[in-house]
Amino acid sequence: MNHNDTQMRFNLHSNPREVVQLQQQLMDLCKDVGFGELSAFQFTSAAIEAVNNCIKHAYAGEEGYPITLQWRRHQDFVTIEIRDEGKPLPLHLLESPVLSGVDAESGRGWHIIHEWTGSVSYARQGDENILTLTRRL
Amino acid sequence: MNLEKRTSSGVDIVKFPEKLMMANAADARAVLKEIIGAGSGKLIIDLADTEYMDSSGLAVLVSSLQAARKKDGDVYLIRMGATVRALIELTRLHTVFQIFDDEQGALNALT
Repeated sequence: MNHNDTQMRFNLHSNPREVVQLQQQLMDLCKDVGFGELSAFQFTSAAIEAVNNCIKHAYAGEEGYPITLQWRRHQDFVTIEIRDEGKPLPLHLLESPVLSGVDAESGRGWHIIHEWTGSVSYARQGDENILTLTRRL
Repeated sequence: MNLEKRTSSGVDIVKFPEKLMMANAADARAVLKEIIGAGSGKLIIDLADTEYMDSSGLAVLVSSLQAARKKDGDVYLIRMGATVRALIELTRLHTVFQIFDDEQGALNALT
């Protein structure tokens, strides 16, 4: 983890246990820059769902692969950029999400990401997936 | 994983942990399946201590509900905080779970 006044970088592996600590760190960062409790929870939730997707889908649940999360505070918004080297993201997931069924066991992650983030963008650069989440302060 | 569990009037009452995430969701699911299988199928999940839940945690709730209803039981949620409630409402799970502010209200409704 590298830190300066406006950005922080987290280097993780595709291991769900590492995400537990990341969640608390993101909550703390969001609150530190002025997000209220609920907004901090929402933006953190979106980022955690994105990281979970890296583990579950990009790396198909295999542990030990790299995930990088870059948290940046701008003047009036925050971006969280998440990079992995797994399978490309199916582009239809970037479209407006629909809950697959209220009582379905899965299919909520992307709904959370879209609903609790101001904007979501995706790029594939070389072997990397880059997902960027933005939310206004 | 140890989930704090007790039984009152034939209803199992389980207290969820501070965080329910992908890292511990499979364990929680297995414990709840065992509790529901061994019990009446009537379950109250106490979320008072649960500060954070992700979609894997929500999936645990849904799988518990499905298991309980197979036994003609149900799962009621109690004492959730504002953030978890926001997550439940965003994902519309408040339309499939009965939610109560306190244990007695849930017990009265389940028994």
